[in-house]
Amino acid sequence: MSTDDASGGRVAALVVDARGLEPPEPMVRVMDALDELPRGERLLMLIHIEPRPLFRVLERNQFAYHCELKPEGYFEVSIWHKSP
Amino acid sequence: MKRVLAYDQAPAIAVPLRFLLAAPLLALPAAALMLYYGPALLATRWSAAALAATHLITLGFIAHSVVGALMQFLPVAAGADIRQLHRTAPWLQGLLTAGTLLLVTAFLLQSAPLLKVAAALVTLVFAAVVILAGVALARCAANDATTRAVTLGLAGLAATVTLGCVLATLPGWAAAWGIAQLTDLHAAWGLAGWMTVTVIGVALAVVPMFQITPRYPPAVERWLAPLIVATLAVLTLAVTTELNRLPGLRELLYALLAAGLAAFGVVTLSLHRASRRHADVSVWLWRGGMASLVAVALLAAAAMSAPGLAQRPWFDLLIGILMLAGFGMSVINGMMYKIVPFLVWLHWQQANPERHPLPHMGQIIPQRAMRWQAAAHGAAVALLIAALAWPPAVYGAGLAWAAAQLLLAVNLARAALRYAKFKHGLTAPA
Repeated sequence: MSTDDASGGRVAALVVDARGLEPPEPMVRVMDALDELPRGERLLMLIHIEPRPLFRVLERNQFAYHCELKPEGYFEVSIWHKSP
Repeated sequence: MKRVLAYDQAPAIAVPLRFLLAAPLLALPAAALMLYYGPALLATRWSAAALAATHLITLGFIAHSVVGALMQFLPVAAGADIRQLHRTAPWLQGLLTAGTLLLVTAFLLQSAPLLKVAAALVTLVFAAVVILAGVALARCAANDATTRAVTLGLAGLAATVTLGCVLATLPGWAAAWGIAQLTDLHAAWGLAGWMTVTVIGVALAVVPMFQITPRYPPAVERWLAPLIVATLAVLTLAVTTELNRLPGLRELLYALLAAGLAAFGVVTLSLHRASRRHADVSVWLWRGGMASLVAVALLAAAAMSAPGLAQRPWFDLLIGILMLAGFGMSVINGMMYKIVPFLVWLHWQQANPERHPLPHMGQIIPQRAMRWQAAAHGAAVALLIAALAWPPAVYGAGLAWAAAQLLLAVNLARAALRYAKFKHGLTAPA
């Protein structure tokens, strides 16, 4: 699921490992980290369940995202500012 | 950065909370029935008091909880636009509560006219819920296992209410198919087709999310809810058409249903075992619920191999206690302890764009308060089951039941008051 292409290969500026965290901790950590995210950079979120409620919050806050299920069973969500 | 944590169509907190707060208050009178009628309540499933208690649980506790939870779950998890349902929530809750109390009174007074009025009221409310939520789900882009299961659950609700309506208002039709058979079908749709399938749909999302477990296996996500509903559809044909003559068909279909319930119970318990998290009250309530499902399946298996077992008067009562109180109320109770604090926190966040420090989520409903309430609920279920073998235990069950529902109502009300008080502090002019 995504709002844009992942355009691979770029290293994330920030990583939030939310695997094993109970709501709302994942959302709080991601939103805190997004406060620090420079425009043009990406944040990488690792989480054990597809964070669908977060996607709508990201859209409302003008962030784009790409979500991918990894073979190990967790989800990797790349998040970046919509406008550069 | 000012954050906008509001979801597009998520309701005001009062929308789901009004239903969730009503649920334990409507289950509470069942304690009065236990204390007043005593052992007579559990003499037969057909007694006025037993029917009244059953519907206090199904319509009072379970239906109010499920409708309230769907008011929040559908827009947030599925992106379904149910603003029309949100706008009518006060009316729906009022009418559902009135319909529930009227139906229970009708059973106790054995009044056919009152039963018809109550059935009409309840049908009206559920028709609104099924139509508005169903249309919204059909229109939303989400096409995942959760959305499909919740949609199937709505179909199960429609079937349950239709059969209930026939039983209440068309006695001639009901008699033609057999009152007992039709009642069993109504119960099967209600317990498995609506309650369990809806729980499955919600569990696929919230068990991994809130109980920090691995995801459900893809086969369970994809097939379990549809198989349960398909089995019920064939069972309906088996009861109402010439298929009724096929020997053993109904028993086979009930066995399949039981197997489906057991599969959900066993898989969920195995997910809990795979979780690295320390089990909290919510998880323990879910474990009790899953154990009840497995017990129902074992009873069904025993009934297939021991002829006459299913005809014992305590058999149906035990299945009912396990499915309603053991499973349905336990998992809903457990999920309330996750959803309500999360709702409070979410709405605090929405009222706090300046990001003042907020109370910790664990302070919204303290674990100790949850533990006492869950213990009372567990005692009530155990004593109800014991009462089937030793009838005076029903009095203890009544007291434990009253404590469990009162404590749940107090815990939820405290969370609501904490929300209101803190929000007032956030939004009051400086």
